[in-house]
Amino acid sequence: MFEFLFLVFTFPLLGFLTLAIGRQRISENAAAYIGVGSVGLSALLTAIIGWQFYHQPAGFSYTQELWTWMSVGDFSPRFALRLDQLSMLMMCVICGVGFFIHLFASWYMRGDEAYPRFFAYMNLFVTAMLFLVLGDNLLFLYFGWEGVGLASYLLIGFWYQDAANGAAARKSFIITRVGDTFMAIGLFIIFHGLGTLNIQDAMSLAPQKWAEGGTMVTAAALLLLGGAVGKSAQLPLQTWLPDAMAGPTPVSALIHAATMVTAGVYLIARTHVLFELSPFALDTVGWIGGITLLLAGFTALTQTDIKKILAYSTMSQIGYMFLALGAGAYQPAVFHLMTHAFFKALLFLSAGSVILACHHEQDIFKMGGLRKKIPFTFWVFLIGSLGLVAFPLTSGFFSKDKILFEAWAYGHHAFYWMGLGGAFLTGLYTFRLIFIAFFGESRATHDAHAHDDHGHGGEITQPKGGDHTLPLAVLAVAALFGGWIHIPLDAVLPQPAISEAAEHVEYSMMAASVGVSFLGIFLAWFFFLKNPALAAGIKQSAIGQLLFRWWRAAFGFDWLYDLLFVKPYLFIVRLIRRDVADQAIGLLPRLTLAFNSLFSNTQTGQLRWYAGMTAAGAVVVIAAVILI
Amino acid sequence: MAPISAWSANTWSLIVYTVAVIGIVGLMLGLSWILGGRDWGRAKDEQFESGVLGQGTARLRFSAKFYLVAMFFVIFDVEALFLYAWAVSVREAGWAGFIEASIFIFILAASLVYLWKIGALEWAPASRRPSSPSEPDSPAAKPDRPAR
Amino acid sequence: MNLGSAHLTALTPMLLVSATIVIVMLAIAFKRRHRGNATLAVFGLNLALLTSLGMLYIGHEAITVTPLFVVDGYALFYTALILVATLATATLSYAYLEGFKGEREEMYLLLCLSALGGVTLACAQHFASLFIGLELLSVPLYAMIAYPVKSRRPLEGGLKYLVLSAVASAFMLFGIALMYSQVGSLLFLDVGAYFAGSASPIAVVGGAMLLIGLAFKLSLVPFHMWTPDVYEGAPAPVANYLATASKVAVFAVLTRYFVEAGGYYQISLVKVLSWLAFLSIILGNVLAVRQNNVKRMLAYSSIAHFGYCMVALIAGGPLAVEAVGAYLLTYVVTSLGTFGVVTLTSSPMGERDADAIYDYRGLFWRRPYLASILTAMLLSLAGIPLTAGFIGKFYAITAGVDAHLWWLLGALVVGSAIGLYYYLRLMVSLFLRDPSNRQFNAPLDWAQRTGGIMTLLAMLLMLAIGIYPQPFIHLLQLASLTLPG
Repeated sequence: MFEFLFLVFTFPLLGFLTLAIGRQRISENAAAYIGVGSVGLSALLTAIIGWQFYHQPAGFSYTQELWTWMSVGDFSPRFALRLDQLSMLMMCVICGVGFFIHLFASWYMRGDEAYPRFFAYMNLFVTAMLFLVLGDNLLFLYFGWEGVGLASYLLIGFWYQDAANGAAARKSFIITRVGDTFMAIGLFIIFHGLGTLNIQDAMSLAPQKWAEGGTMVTAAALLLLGGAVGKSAQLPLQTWLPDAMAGPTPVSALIHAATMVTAGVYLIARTHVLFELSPFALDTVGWIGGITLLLAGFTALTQTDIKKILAYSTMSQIGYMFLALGAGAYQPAVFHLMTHAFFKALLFLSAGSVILACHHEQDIFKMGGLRKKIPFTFWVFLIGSLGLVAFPLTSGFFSKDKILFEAWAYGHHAFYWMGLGGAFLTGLYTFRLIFIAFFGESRATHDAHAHDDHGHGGEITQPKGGDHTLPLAVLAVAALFGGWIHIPLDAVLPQPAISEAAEHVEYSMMAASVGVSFLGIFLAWFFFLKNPALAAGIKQSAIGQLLFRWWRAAFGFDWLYDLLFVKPYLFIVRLIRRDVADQAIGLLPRLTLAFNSLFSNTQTGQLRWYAGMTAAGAVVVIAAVILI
Repeated sequence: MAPISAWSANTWSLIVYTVAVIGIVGLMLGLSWILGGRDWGRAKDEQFESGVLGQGTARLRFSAKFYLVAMFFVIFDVEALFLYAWAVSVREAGWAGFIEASIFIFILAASLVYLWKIGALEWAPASRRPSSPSEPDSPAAKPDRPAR
Repeated sequence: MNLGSAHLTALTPMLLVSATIVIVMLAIAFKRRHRGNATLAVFGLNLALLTSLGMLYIGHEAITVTPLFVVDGYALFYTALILVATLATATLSYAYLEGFKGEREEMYLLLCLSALGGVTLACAQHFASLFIGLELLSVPLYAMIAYPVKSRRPLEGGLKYLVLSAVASAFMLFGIALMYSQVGSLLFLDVGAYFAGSASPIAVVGGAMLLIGLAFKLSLVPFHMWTPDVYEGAPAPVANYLATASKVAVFAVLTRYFVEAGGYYQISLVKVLSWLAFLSIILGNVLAVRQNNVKRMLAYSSIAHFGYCMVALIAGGPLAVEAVGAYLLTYVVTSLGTFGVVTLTSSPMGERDADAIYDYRGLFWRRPYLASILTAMLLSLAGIPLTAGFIGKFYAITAGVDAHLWWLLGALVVGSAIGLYYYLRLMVSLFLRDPSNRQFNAPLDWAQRTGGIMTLLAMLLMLAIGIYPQPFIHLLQLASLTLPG
């Protein structure tokens, strides 16, 4: 069965091609069948392969060589797929969660005029993402990496008629491009130092060729981290993710929550050998994760747009994964990646359901009391939130708890405390969202009709239909019980031994983390449901004002970058517009044009001139041959 | 590679030769231009003493058919020359030679048939030719036949 | 010399093309039918193509058939490439001539004749067969270029090509004579052995004059003058043939000449050739920049492309022949698609080809597939990765780097940068808004037409070469030449 591995990404690829070629000629239903069906087939195949895979002995891996791209001299990049525990897990997440998101999207996007185009992009994304995780070669991986970037760009700017969406798409594309450039340089260093880009070879060669803590390996690891940080929206390249919410909600669920943004985590886990060789780089990973985790948590606390809250929460959860990677807890990081995919996809999809039910309203302060009106959506949203805040026995509980425990057990106490702080913040901002949006009085009734320019009825009713309810239900089940899934990763990722002493504190730690998240939930209830006036009062105070504005602007990173990069850049541009350097760069086009007009005159169209030139050329050639 | 002196001797001789040729030609033309007397007059352009006065231009326009038929003649004539070469060695060339010559003759004949059929051997222009029943859909006969 | 059955078998592709010529000629003589005659020609060419490909894959020893021809993997590969280009031209001509008022059938006859010349060149290992092949390739082309004889431009182009070709042929013939005077043999291998030793200046001059003749056919600067005028005048399918089959055949024999007849021993000649390549790359690209006529632009771009290809040839070394093959293969496939779209956009009108960039404005909104194909092809011409053009350029650069031809590589990079500009310029115009007066439209059912299918195939092949070049590289390795001794 493993020999059909390549079909997993072939189905979405075919779907993409069909939809891209057929375009508007394909009816909505056909597009839905093709778009969802192709991913469905992939998911089915993944399930079968996964079933077989777990019946193999531990440490089994399968490499499928597709083709050698070309062999010129000693340059022969090979396109091969590699199936091991890590890529198997990633494949399950991409195809499984991806399928349900596609199914939901077929409901969500109904009536959009560019319905086939949407699914074409989505299928393209799934293809590229599968390329990324299955690639045996860093070049292949980079190919997928760029592919998902492209798909993300296309989907964020899907409603391109609105200029703001186009700007958001460009922003995400350019900022991730910064990271990709780092990564490309990192790949060059790896190829230069190790002579191969094959992941397995490189990972086995690295310890032999590079000394621990050496400059080269640190540079390579840090540059790869640069790529990962860009893709996974971590500090300092995190600013694009909130803007990316301009895309349709299923896109946010698939790309900006469940799969693409976790590619950075995957990359670091894949190349963990390099990071272990460079303790500094590994520490940097953890600190970046920890700081992003807290900053994003604070920012989420002040946002009013339901999708932006979820976006910051995603950022913060990926911060957890980075923190875990930095602490050397690779397995919990990947485990959290999986559970996060479940509950965050669920949250985004149910947010999509809320948004459609409220007629494209995204401001939580204009919702309120939705619990009664859309009960099903409320319950699945609540389940997702419980997973997010690591409510005991939900999926998030297991993974987050493991991260915190192992961070402590490996002696990274600072990471532990940051993680604990993050857990508190998560509880606070998640339930702030729930209490404001789903409880209390409805704040939308008086202007629902006025604001409704989409031709829907003004009433908020529970969305129905199998393609809406089924994905939510399935993902809710996964978010609740996903933590019980045992995923063996020992063959791929190391699991350092845990000291006896540390094991004793495991339960007290569990209690602590549950405690702080409950504290967060309680405070959210106290401030935002019980005593909204009190919260408003704190907000009005001078220091509250300051903090609120600072946090709300996501710690002013956009402003800072504007100040640090954009403004000076524009300033320099203005300064050197007529400068020598510019003239030098403009020399090629100028020369080209000058030569063009000069030599255009030789094309007179007169036969005698041509014959004369031919003869003159011949004389010159003969003379040159004789005289040289 | 020849020794360098041989090369440069060759090169130099070539250069000297080129310069000398240009010089001599220039000298001859220049001397006659300087020394020669010049005189203009209407009668000066006419033939002197012997000869007949010119009648119109020498650039007569023959019918294009003339060139065509001339060319056919040259082509077939020259091709037929090869047969002489074969004829004198017909025994030595044997059956293989015979087959080859037959193919050659066949191709010549085929091209003659082709020329005949497309009307290349007809002297009169297509518009003045009585339309022959043998080639009813020759586009040349009906130049403005609508496109298919 | 006796011809055995092995020799005849080796010559099968050539014999098949010859037989096709006679049969098509007789068919035209007895019954003029556009479809029937075209089918006959295409059938014969296909048969020859399949045979040559089959022989290439089976692979066998090089067979020398009379002193004139050698049939080896190299000859078979280029035979196949030339026949592919000829077939594509035939298909395009069929679409193009549908609206032509006048006798349409002779085009196929001329095409087959010219293809026979190309095949001869691919197999030539003797200066006599080189010259015969070259003339057989060119003479029908004069007629093909001037095929719409009632229009001004084609006639002008045909005449220009005729006169200038004659000049070039004269040089070449003289060069061959000079070499013969020193070597005493016209066989490539003998000439090669001669040049390996010390060569007299007369032979070197002869080599240079031969090169002038070939450089003219390849339109290298400064023998490029005819190219834009002739491309512009020629009917689009003929321009396609001129850009692909004709040049490939000449380049094939040039490469064989270099490898077998000791071109590489003539140091000064190689040096001069590298200047010509340099000038071709720069001038070809520079002249294309402000060209508003697509066919002229493609003509200039072909000047530049053969400059790139020349880099691979000049590099020499073990990779040169493979690199030249790769470049020519990718260039042919890409050009077929590009000219295919130009032909299909022009065909039904007959008045004038769609060759102004303006005619392509908004093509995407009228004919999305045609525009997509053209876009892909232009990207390939520019050498963007994952297209065939990239593979060709990659090969040329690899060969150049191996031979340390830094300033030629510099020209190649600068030239590619300039090239990108004018390819993008055409590409952008494809996606602009519709102009108010649509003068040129491909027929609606273009996809059903053979030409459309051919263009589509060219694009698929182009993508296949770009994405998975290994089988094609394997093919190229079958078509290698080895230096004697």
